[in-house]
Amino acid sequence: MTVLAAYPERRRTWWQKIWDARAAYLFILPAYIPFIVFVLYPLINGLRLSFYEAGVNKAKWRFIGFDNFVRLFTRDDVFIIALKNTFLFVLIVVPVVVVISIFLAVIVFPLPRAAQSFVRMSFYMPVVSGGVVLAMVWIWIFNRDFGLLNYLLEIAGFYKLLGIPKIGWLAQTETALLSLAMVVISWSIGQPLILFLAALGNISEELYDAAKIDGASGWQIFWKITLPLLRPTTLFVLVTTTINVFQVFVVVLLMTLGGPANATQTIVYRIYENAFVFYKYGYGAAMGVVLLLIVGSIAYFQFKLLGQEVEY
Amino acid sequence: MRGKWLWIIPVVGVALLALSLFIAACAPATPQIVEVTKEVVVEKEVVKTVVVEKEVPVLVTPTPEVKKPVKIELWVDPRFDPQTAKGHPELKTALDYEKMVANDYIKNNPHVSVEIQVLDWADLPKKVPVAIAGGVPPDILRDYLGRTSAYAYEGVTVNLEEVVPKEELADFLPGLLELYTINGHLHGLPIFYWVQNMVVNAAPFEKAGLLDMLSLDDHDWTFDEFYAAAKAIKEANVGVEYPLVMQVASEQGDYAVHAFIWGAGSNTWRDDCQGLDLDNPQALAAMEFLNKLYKEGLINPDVTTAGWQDVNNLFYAGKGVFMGGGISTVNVSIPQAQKEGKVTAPMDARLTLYPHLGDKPSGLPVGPTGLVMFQKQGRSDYELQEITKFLIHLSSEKWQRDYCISSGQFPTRYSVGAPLAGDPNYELTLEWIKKYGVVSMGLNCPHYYEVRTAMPAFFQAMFLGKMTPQEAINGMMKASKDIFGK
Amino acid sequence: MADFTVSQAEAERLQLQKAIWSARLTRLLWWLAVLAVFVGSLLSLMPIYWMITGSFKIQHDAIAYPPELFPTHPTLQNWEKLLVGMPTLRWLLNSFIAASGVALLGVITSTLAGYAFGKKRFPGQNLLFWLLLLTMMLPKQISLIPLFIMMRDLKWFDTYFALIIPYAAYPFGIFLVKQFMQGIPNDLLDAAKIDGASEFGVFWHVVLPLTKPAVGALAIFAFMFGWNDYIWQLVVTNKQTMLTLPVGVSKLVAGWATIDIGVGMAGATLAFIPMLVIFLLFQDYFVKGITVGAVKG
Repeated sequence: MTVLAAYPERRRTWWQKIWDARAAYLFILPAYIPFIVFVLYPLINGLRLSFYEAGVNKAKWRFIGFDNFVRLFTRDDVFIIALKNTFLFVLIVVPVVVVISIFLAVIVFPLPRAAQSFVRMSFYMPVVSGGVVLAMVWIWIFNRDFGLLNYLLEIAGFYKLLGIPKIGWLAQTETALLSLAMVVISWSIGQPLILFLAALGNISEELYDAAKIDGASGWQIFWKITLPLLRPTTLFVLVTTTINVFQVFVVVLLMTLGGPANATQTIVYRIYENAFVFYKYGYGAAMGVVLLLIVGSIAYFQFKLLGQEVEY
Repeated sequence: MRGKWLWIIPVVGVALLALSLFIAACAPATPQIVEVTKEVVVEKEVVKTVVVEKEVPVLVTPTPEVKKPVKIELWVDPRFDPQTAKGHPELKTALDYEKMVANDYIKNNPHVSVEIQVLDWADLPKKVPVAIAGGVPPDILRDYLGRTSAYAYEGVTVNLEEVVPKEELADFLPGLLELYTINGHLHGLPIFYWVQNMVVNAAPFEKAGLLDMLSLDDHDWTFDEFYAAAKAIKEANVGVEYPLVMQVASEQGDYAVHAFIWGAGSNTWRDDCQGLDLDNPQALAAMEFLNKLYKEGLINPDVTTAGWQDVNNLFYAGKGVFMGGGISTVNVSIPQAQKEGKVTAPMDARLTLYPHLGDKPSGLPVGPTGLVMFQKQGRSDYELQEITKFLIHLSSEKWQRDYCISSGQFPTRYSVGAPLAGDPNYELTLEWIKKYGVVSMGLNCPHYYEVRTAMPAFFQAMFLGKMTPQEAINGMMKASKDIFGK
Repeated sequence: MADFTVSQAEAERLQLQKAIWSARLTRLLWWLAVLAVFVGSLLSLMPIYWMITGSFKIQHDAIAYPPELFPTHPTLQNWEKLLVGMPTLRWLLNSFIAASGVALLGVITSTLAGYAFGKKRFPGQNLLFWLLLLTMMLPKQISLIPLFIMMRDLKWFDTYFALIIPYAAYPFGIFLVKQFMQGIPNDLLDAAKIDGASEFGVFWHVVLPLTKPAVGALAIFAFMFGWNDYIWQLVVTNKQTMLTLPVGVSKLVAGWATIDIGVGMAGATLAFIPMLVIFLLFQDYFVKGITVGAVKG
């Protein structure tokens, strides 16, 4: 590098620059070839398929222009419901995850190391166990008649207090989406918590000491110092959680099949059902494109916000 | 310090990867390995679970002969239940049964080898289309018409009219062959069918002295009579909590719900198969009736989320007394559940008809299962002939009769006659079919599965009070029209 | 006069008292918050506890009300059904092979590429890197169908290739390694080069040993990803013997053939244990891996 740098920069063409950096290209090649073949190409192909009517019989595929998209927004009520549900889901889950994980991090941070790592482990455990495993357990916990949740609520006097009969959490349109949101929240806290704890560790003690000398209360320190300094991490968590929640699927497939009365239909579940139950690949791909546009634009705006704070 | 552990990751990884590549390279194609797997799994299948007898590939290898060898791949549903089937106590698994049938053919045609996979109900709708899309379908598939018709619409099946001799086809019930004819193309050979009725547990009625309310003499009863019986048994305090148990969480077994629509005198599907046909006062009356039953606590409250297992459990526990079912429910499933100790209430299960609104009960839904042959690239005429012969063997009079006896199904060939003659439930069902005919479930209609899957949401909405019965009907009609693009 | 002093003293006393109370209140609130955190931790672990104990319950107890908080008639019959009656061990092996394969390939490609992105300057660097990042953010469902069709054309259904090879490029891993590499001082590399080391030699002898923590984290994440990638495994595995553990186990509860809750829980526990072991062994790497990308140290 040092030797090459001795050449005057302006005399070298782009081609020479590339040649000089050939080692770097070789280093990225093992990753980039499969990336192009298995990630980029299918992605572009997905865009293409959305303009086709495509079923199990490849011989019958035909180009239909924007018909799939027109159908999505004019003759597919369930998709519109799924669109709304997905947004609702994001709006419920993301703020809750951010608030809870900040709260946990701030409370746990001053505690002894053992306590800190216990809490961290507890909240990371659902991440480790994965969606399938958790969904299976939660179906049982949510059962109206013999589920653990209703039992705990009953001994806590919840039903007596409100004077209502036991709730079938996954059986009511009002509670089904919330119940799924709760499950998703339960496995979405682990990662942000670790991030916030690490971020707190990076805030220098001197700042706190200075604030204390100035007579600031715990609350003031939190609002004026801690929170602003956590901002980059918060934005990062916001973006990643939003992207993940937009893709919620496993809980729907295993816990509700989109019911009751379509209350838990989500975009990705519609994609799955259309492509892998009805074998309408083209139509499913069109839904994928819509999801891509939504998530892409939200991520873009969040990154615009994030741009100044976090460096890549 | 933990860093020292790291070397384990690549070492284990490389070892496993090498192993995986080895297995991956060998597993899919080579029969030898497949056979080994079979031996292991079959032994284990003694333990009874529903999931067990899934796909277990077997190769029944013939001794070589003069004719050019033919390999046939056969996939079947797990219709034969070894625990409950009559007539073959020596067989342990569904696979054993299918092997027996295949071997019966191979012993006279040693140039043919058959690879059999038994798929379970959850896998059938997933694996078969994937295999078709993957260009690797089986030669012959035995599955329910509701699924095979979709493959016919996709144009991936062989037109059997072109390969099966006319004399053979003449032996089949023409009505059933008609169901299998899609776009002028006979896409499958029906080999047996079930008939759906209602099952009632008469024990609590007897205990409460209400047996008369069940109309068990002629099984002809109206919605009002059904409602009165349901209400009376619930109020009799003999442990019955929700007289009618059913589920609308998924489309599985939806005929048990649609039976009320048929009973009220409406179709579910239009005669021309181009969508649903619920926009009429009869269908509305049926929906209102169901809604009333639910609102008055005569239907299980978890109807919108329950699975069929839950419905069965409610029935076995005596909490419910009316449930969808057929001959095999009464003759096979319930006795089996009793044996396993799952039935915890006095049980006197009887077959009866769903109630009706008009002057007589509706026709009965029939669900045929058929043999479908898939088109495959590179198949020679000779192979096509050989596969056809084997297909005819599978649907032959001999094995159809055996199958009907084993699994409580109805035959599709005239020559089979009445294999279960003498069984009172069988006689009863036959009598009903003669008297009331059959109804169309739309099994052979285009977009059947998609429309069917769209319907439960509206039943759920109605039961949960989010839609009136009329709105639910409107919703289903709109969904159907949207799917058909009208 | 006297009045005034008294009242002033009184006021001071009151203020002090107020401050004490307010401090006490804050303290109380803080302890309540700590309590809430620990209750939250226990709640978060609750489903896992429920799953493990559930795997030892017979069906009768599993649907009992009130529920048994601890199995009173522990039984191994669920485990027996699971392990003897079904090809569960084969599923376990499949998952292990798939996850290890994903981890191994991911580590190799990501460290190489991460090094180039983090330590080298070359034309198009930013574009190529952003392309990677972009795909990390986009839903993979859109490429699911074309990828599925590609697997069909390659005849890779029911092979380990389908479970492993599509993940040979692991953008998150590249990102992770790149972030970590940027923390390594350039002087070290330059020194090695002056000593006459080749490009690959620098990478192998100098960079790689320094990157160990990131590589560990990366391997674990890739493994976890390969283990839990449910939807892809669901669609590309077909044969009973090629299912992965999460897919096989999920079939115990989804679908027509519902079986006992206990068996489902035993299956879920089995799918969970390998991940748990890995997590406990390599906890520090998890933390490292999560934070290296997002928090600037």
